[in-house]
Amino acid sequence: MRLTLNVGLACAVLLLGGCETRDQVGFVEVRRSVALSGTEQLVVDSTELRGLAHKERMIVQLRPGPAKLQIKRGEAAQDVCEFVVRKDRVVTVTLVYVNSALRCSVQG
Amino acid sequence: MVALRYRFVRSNFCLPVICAMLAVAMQLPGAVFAAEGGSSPAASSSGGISAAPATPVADFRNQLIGVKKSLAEVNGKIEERARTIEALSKPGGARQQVEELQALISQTLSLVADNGQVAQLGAKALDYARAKQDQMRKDTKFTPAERANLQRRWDQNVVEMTKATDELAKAGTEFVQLLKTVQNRGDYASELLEVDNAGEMVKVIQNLAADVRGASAVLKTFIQSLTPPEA
Repeated sequence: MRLTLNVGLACAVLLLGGCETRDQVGFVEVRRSVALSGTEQLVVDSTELRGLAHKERMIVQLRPGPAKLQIKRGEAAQDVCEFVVRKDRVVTVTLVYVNSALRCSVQG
Repeated sequence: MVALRYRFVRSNFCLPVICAMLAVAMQLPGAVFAAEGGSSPAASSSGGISAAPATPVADFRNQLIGVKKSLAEVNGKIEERARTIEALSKPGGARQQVEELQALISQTLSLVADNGQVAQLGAKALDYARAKQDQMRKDTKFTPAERANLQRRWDQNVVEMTKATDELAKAGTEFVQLLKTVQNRGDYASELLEVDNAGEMVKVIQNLAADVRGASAVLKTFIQSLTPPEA
């Protein structure tokens, strides 16, 4: 029993040694120039931007790939825009109202 | 307490391994107290009041100490990168330097991003401290002097934590700006290379060194001003 545990532990240590690879991440800077009501919540992929009600910008790290910005009103979620997050790069998403509809401009 | 690691390791592969190790460790002879219904060594060793409990404030303080250390290490590497960039002479190396610089800044930004571990812990700690502040204001259990003492300590904690979380947010903004500068310069350099102007490309990258040095100075100031809340 003890031998099995020791072998298991040794294997785990060896495997862990091979884990020194940094996760790939990219960043989204979400800038808000529009006011949000108390019931509105912005979401990038599955990350809720809770702090964005109190400040003008937030910086969120995500896995590289396609991402989506949504606005949640209660249980209903509406897509605002889609963009691509690239490894070790930042994409800036600015929220604006165009003809009273929420839109975003993407730069990066 | 999860120690903050300089390299932001969170791979899908590592997590099961860590879990397996923990599961194995739980079965080792030293961990028998848990299975036998006994108390933990920490709990059983003290006869009176146990050590200070782990609170979100204590966790945040420890994380900030880790962040300070990590940022100091990253800053050394950023300065080193600035020196390398200034000495560039070949386009291939220039492109590689930009990519490595982006990776370095990305690591730093991971530490201070709004959905990063430290920022989330900071928000939790601030909520906790504000709740304690409120609790002390409403308290009827302690004497007025004790209540005043605890109120003063929690007020101070809230001020210090607000300052620390604001500084983290400010650092995030600074590093987003730097990352944008580096990626834009890198993109411009790539365009120059595409139109076959290697000499100009190297010059553009070399000029980045000044921005990188500026970021390093900002980082130094930030490291000095980052004050973990008192115990």
